[in-house]
Amino acid sequence: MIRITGLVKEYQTGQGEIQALRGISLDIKEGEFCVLLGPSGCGKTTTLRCVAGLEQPDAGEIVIEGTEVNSPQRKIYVSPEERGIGMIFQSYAIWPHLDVFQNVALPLEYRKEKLSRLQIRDRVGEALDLVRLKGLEGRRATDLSGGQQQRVALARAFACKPKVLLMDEPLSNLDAKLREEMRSEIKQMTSALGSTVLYVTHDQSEALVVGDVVAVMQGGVILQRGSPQDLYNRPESLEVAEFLGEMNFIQGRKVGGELRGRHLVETRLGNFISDSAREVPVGEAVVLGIRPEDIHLCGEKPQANNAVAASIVHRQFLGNATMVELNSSGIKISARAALRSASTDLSSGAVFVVLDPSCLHLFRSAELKE
Amino acid sequence: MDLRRDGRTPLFVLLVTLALVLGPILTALWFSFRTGLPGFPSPYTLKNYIDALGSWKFYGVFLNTLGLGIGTIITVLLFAVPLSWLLARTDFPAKNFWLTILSVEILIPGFLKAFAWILLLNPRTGMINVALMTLLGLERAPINIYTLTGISFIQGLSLTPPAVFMIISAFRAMDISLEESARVHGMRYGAIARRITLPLMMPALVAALLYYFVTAIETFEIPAILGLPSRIFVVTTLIFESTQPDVGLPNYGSASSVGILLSAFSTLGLYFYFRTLRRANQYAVITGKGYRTREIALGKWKWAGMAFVLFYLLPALVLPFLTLVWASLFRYLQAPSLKALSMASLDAYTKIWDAAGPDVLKNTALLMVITATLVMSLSVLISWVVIRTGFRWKKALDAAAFLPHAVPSVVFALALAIFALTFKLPIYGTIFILIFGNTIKYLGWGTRSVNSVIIQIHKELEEAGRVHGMTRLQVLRKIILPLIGPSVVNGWMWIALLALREVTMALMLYSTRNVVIATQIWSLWRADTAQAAALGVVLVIVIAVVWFSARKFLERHFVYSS
Repeated sequence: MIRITGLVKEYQTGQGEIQALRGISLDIKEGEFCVLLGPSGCGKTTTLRCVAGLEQPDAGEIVIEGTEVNSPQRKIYVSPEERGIGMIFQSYAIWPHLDVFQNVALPLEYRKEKLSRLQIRDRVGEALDLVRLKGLEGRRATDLSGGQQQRVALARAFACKPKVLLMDEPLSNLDAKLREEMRSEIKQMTSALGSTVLYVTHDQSEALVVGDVVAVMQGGVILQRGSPQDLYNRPESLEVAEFLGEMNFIQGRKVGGELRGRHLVETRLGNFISDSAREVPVGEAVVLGIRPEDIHLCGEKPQANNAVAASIVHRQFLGNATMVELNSSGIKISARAALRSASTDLSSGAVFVVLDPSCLHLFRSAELKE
Repeated sequence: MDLRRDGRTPLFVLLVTLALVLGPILTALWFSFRTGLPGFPSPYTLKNYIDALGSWKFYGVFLNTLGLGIGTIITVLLFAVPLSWLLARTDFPAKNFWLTILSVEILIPGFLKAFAWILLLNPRTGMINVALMTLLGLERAPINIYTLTGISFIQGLSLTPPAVFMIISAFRAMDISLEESARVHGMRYGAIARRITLPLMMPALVAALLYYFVTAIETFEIPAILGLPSRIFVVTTLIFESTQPDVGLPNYGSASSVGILLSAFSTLGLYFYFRTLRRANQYAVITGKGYRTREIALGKWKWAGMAFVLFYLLPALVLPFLTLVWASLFRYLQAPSLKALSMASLDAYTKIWDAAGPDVLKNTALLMVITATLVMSLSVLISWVVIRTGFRWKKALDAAAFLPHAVPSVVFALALAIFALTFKLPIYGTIFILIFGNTIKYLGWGTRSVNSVIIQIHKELEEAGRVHGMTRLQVLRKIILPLIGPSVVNGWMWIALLALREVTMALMLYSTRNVVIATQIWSLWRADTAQAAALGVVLVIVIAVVWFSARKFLERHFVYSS
């Protein structure tokens, strides 16, 4: 539905040239909800604006529903109004001089297929119905709450029956409770309509909840693309692992095991076994990673592999769990312990930490940050 | 919110402001119900108002004034809207350079431009008229500058630069995604301009036009220079005429009544201005993300844009300045030609110290330095009370500081003269009455600019000082002042230069003891055009150099505030 190939975009700034995008390629299937996730300045909004036609890339191609809309090499540029898209802006961009009905209706008056007044009224009614704003047609845009403005923006995009729907941090201006409500609503509405969505956010939990597919971006490139489960459970790089959720890292060297499947890694804390599927030759410097919730804590020395002694530095009660900060031979480890074990075993200062081999990630880069 | 918490300072500031602003204005109001000369006994009467409102002459003058206001804003509309659009929304080259030129232009006295245009377009010897007559074989001069149209046009050219800055800030306040969302949902440029941009900009445009309408009917210098020779009066020149008649005694009572009527009319205009402005501010959305405004690529139209900028700058700046330079070179004005150039002399420049002697320079320096210092000190105090304290009457204080804006300079000078004469103040006829008048006149500008700076300083910076044991005044001195310092210095420079170019009050309160450069040029004009023109040229150059170097200095030495 949307195919982006080798997108490059450069900006001139006071300090010289900045490469905002360095070869972005992305394929989004029909009906798919794709999220671009990354820290601010990673190029995600620039990518979205290139798809919208509000920004022109310096190289690369964009194809929307089989139609080439951007190709600097072949001098193709389809202007935004010709692309048949819908878009939700971060500021919502609700026209303050118009009321709710007019905000949704205005673009319909200028559609290529000429709509009669009656058709426009039906389309607007349908869209407002969908976002549950029926009855507020005559309300001035400036008298709407943030959540209502958000709904008007959605209705305006839906009413255009766009081929693809673009959303630029649509929830970032809402307060926390409303944000959670709206993100599941957006998900429901778009999947009910079968829309193809490209969605930009810097909020990882938002990305995991709404996305069918998530692409993690950093420094103008896509680091990894996959389902939320894939990204969380099988991060391909340290950056992705760090960006999505928390992870403990231990530097080491592979000393034995097969090329893939079972690795024996030597670290300052002793030898560990990892079941990571990554291919790593023996002798290579590696980084082991494990999420806090995959760490088991025991009061006595267990029989299992991958166990190491540690002392508790600090405990933080979170309600449904306890975050435990440990120290083992000078290496900091955080573990997330379920409630029960927290109350029984963790009263003493010394415990044993067990790292489940199937949850122990292995990365080839030895450049651990910090 | 009680007085004890804020101490006595706010109340003191309020009383001083009220005394400064309301003292003269109320005296003028009181005097509009009297006749004769201030300081002498006379009965209360409605005669002044009855005379004014009962004479046809007054209505004629009123119509002229309306005509001047409308003509001016049409000119402003014609130039300022395209210029603002070019400089705010497009990729027009060297935008900052053009904006600096426009800011210098605000400081160049309007009366110098009017004098220059007389040399170009007066019906007998105007250089353009003579050239056209010879070229086309005409018997009569084709263009007469001494008309209401002429006055409106020159006035409009002069008010275009400040209007550009006002409209540009409205363009910048508009959230660009309002237009982008129209584009991605299928609307074309034309439809967007008609249905989105224009309706959104409308309140801000109307507000700007209202503001400059009021400014136009309040100004004196250009209507005086271009209107009085052909006896075309507007209200401000009528007031001037009543206080300094060619024959007979000055009629302060009649001048006051007309002045009060004009002030009431401008206040009404400003009231509508503020109402429209509120609407405009509703439309200005603060965006979540500072996405840089996308500039519209002009492409080949860049040349058309450049032509338009020159189309404005030529009559507004370049031509008048060159005319002054030319006029300063000849004892008797010559039509431009190579032959004439051989007779040029720099006499007027070598004699410049005779024209602007030590007294004139001293007066001018005192006026600039003391006025700017007083205005900025008072403004900081007032703005701080208005924005940062819980003072009960802070709204009244803000309004009092802005009130001089609604009172035309001519009227305020008149009020000041009556005030000084009635109470026999020794400042009458000295430079200090001019300092007094200018200080109050620019207080409105000073407080507006300091208000906007103080608002930007996060309140917690101050509160951090308070909770760690500093008093309010210590916080003002040690935290706020250093933070707003660069802006205050900038405002100081600006007001000093505005006081340098001010001529209306200086003429109304003129005496042989308080001549400043502006009034010196004005009175020299008829006696020795070359000398006046030379003084004008030097004045323009000094203003431009001082303003440029001040800006450069501030940019270099203060980074944290722009």
